[in-house]
Parts: sequence; structure tokens; C-alpha cells
Amino acid sequence: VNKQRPPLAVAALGVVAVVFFALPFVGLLWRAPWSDLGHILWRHDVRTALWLSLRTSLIATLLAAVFGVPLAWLLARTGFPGRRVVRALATMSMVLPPVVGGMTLLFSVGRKGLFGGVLHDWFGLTLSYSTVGVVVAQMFVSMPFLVLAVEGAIHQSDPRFEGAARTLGGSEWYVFRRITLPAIRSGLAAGMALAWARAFGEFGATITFAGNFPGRTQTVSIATYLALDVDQRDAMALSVLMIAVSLLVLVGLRDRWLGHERRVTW
Amino acid sequence: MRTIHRVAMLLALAAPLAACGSTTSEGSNISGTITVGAATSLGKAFTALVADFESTHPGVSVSLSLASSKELRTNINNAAPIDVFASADWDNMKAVKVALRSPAVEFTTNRLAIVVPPGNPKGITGLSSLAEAGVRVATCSPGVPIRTYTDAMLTSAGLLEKVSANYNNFAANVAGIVTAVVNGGSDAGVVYRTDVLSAGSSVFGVTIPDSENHVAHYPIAELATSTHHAAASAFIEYVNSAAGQAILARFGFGTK
Repeated sequence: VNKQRPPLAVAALGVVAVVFFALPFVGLLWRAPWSDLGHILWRHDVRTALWLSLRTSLIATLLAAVFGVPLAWLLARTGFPGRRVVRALATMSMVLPPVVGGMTLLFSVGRKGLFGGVLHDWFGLTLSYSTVGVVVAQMFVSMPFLVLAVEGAIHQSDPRFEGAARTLGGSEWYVFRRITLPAIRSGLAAGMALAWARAFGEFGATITFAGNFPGRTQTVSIATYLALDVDQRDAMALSVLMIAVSLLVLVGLRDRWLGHERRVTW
Repeated sequence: MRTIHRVAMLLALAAPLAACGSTTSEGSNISGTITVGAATSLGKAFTALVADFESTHPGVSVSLSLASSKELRTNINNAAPIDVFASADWDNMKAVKVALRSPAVEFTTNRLAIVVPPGNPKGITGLSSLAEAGVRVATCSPGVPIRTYTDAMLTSAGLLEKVSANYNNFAANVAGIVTAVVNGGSDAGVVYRTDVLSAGSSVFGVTIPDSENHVAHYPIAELATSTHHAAASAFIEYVNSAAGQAILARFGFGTK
């Protein structure tokens, strides 16, 4: 009931911002080939790209959680020296231009990179221009979203519960598994959703590090970009699909972002 | 129980990854999956050609990776798993640092043409129109074959300095030039004649007379790093065969 009337200038600029966000969607959705949508999206090359994107982004998200949650816990709960540097490093790829991220991967763990030769000669592992490389690129750019979300959640959870569990004889691992993890599950879910959306839409790092090989590294983002130069209807159909996916993620995160300030109690 | 379920899920997701690149040999004496890195301009012709090749070689599957010859060359030099390289010029073929199984051979030729939006709003009639003030011309970044051919042609015509001052858009590959013109980013661009043909009604083409035009030469080669020698050489043989050449001709390419 404390809603106030906005000053005219503020309202006007705010409306411009809304139009700015909405118009691009209107333009694309207006011209999208709706009647052929199913036909285009069901085509073999499109399904191949989509399936590749789904697989790689889900694996990248799971790996990001496996390594990201422990890192977030270390950042939030321990005071190890150089923590700020580590946090900056872990966040770096979020602000780094994706194409530069791809470059760093190519020149480090790429086949001809500083460590890539060792990976290949000792382990027979080639990351650049491979499906595994797509996962690596996606993980590189999406893990910070998960780390930051989980670290925030750990900060908000009360450390006294963990202390109490330890007092009652719980081992460190037991406490982490049974107290810490459940307490952060909402933050973890949000972090995984964000990381997955970022991984699914990844383009710059992927095309730089993994190239564009249909069935192996041509993700749906890359296929969409390339379709623009071949058949714009295909590009629009793929864009519609990815807009729908993004909407789903947003709906999934609605409790967190779209206003429902729901307190989660444990 | 829960853990087992999760592990199973991970494995289910990872399994297709491991399956990638594995080859199956059935009946046919040649089998395997080969990756052909082909110049962007070959896109439609090679898509048709690959379909035909696969139907006559049931055991072989071809994965077509389309990009500018310059980008493909960079990929190859960074150890990308490409078996056959079909380049739109000799410069990029010669810049390949990986050994070739056998010397590259020219398999087709192409000619250049000017692409403009439908209706030709700027009234482009030939190369000299591109040099006029206020005409925005799309091209590619240096080293991409179409740019090399365009600049060579303009140099012969004595127009390079004026036209290059009109370059306003530097696409990653020749298809990007067509996109720039279609979407109004540029008024005209020099592309291959085959690009104008395959773009259909979305663009107009302005012919460049043979006396001013340059010939684009397309070499093809198998890389020594290819692990599917039989399939790769069969593909190259097919491209050079009467059937392969007929498909290229259908898309406007020159035959040997």
C-alpha cells in the first residue's frame, strides 16, 4: 500500500526500457516460420545439434556442481590465504569475453597448447575440436554462476547448525552431506539452472576451442549462427526454440527472481 | 540407491560421447566416418554431393564441416580432426602445416559476381559502380579466399583503392557477405557466381564480364593425419569423378 506515483520522466524512461527489451522478441517472433517450425526443428541436422547441446550442457552442469560446490564451500566457510584471489579467478570466466575464454583453452589444453601435448601423449586425450572440448568450454564459462550462487547460499545458511551437528558427533563429511547440502539446495538448484542456461547457449568459447563439426562440436547455438548465412528461416526457428528454453529456465527460477519473496525454512 | 541412480544417469549421458567417432564395418569394404572440411562456397553443392556419395558407399558416413578456407586451415593447423580439406584457393591449401597424404589436386573452378539486394536499388552495373562514393561494399577479412580473389580482380581493374575505401563490412566467410547484403548492412558485395545462384530470389546478381573476372581455383587433399584413408581417398575420387563433377556443374561450378 506504499506504492507511489512515479515522476513522469522516470515512468517514461522505464517504459522505453521495457520496449527495448520487448521489441527484439516481437520482431523475431513475428517473422518466425511458425507453420514450418516443427518440420525445421525435427530435421536430422537440427536434432543432431540439439541433442549434442543437451548432452554436453547437462554434463557440464553436473561437473560444475561436482567441483563448484566444494569450491563454494571453501570460499564461504574457510579463511584460507589467497581466498580473494581464488574467488576472482573463479569468477573471471564470467566477465571474460567468451571468445577469449576459448583462446585460453586452445592455447593451454588444446592439442597444440602448453599442456595439450601432455594430455594427448600421456592420456590419449584431445580436447580441442572434440565433444569433450565442448563440455570443457561450457564448464569453463558456466561454473562461476554456480559457484557464486552456492557461495551466497552457504553464507546465508546458519553455521551453528553445522556446529551443532559436529558437537553431536557427526563427521565433517556427514555434516557437509546431511546439513550443509540440504541447507543450500535452493541456491544450488538456482546455480545449476543458471549454469545450465549459460552452458546451453554457449557460443564464443565453444566455436573458438571446439570448432564447428556437425555431430561432434556443432551445438545448437553454433548451428543457429551459421543458419543465418544459409537459410534465415532455419535461424529464426532455432531462435524460437532457444527463447522457449530460456523462458522455461526463467519460470523455473521464478521464486527466486520474479518477486515471490518466499522464505525457505529448514 | 539414489547414488546408483545418479551414476546411471551420468553414464547414460556420457555413453553417446564415447560412441562418437567409433566406426562399424559391415559388408562394404570401405567404412567409417570421415570429416570433410569444405569452403563455405561449396556448401550446397557438397551437401548434395555427400548425399550421393553416401548412397553409393553405404559403409561410409561423411560429416561436412563448412567454414571459410582460412578458418579450416587454422583448425587443421591446430590439429582438428579433419580427413579431407576442400579449399577455395591454393593459398590456404599451401598454408596447411599438416602433411598431405598425396599432393592436392584442383577439382573445380568458380567465377566472381556482384551481389545486390533485389531490385538493385543502388543501380550497380559493374565493378566501377562499386567504386562510386556512398556505395557500401561487403567483403571478408583478409586471407579468406573471396577477399583475395576480389582484391586481385579489383587490382587488375585499377579499382582496388577506391573500392576498398567503400568496404564497410568484413564477414568471416563468403556467406556472410550475402547476409550483409540481404539484411541491408551493405549495398553490394563481390561473391562467387555460385553464391548468387544458390541465394535464389533473396538477392540479385550482377554479372562481371569474363574479361574483368578472375577464376577461383579449388584444390582438394587428404590429410596424412586421417585415420580413414580408404574412405577419404574414395571421397576425393568421387569428387573428381563424372558423377561428382556433374553435381558441381549443377550448382554452377566449373568442371575439370
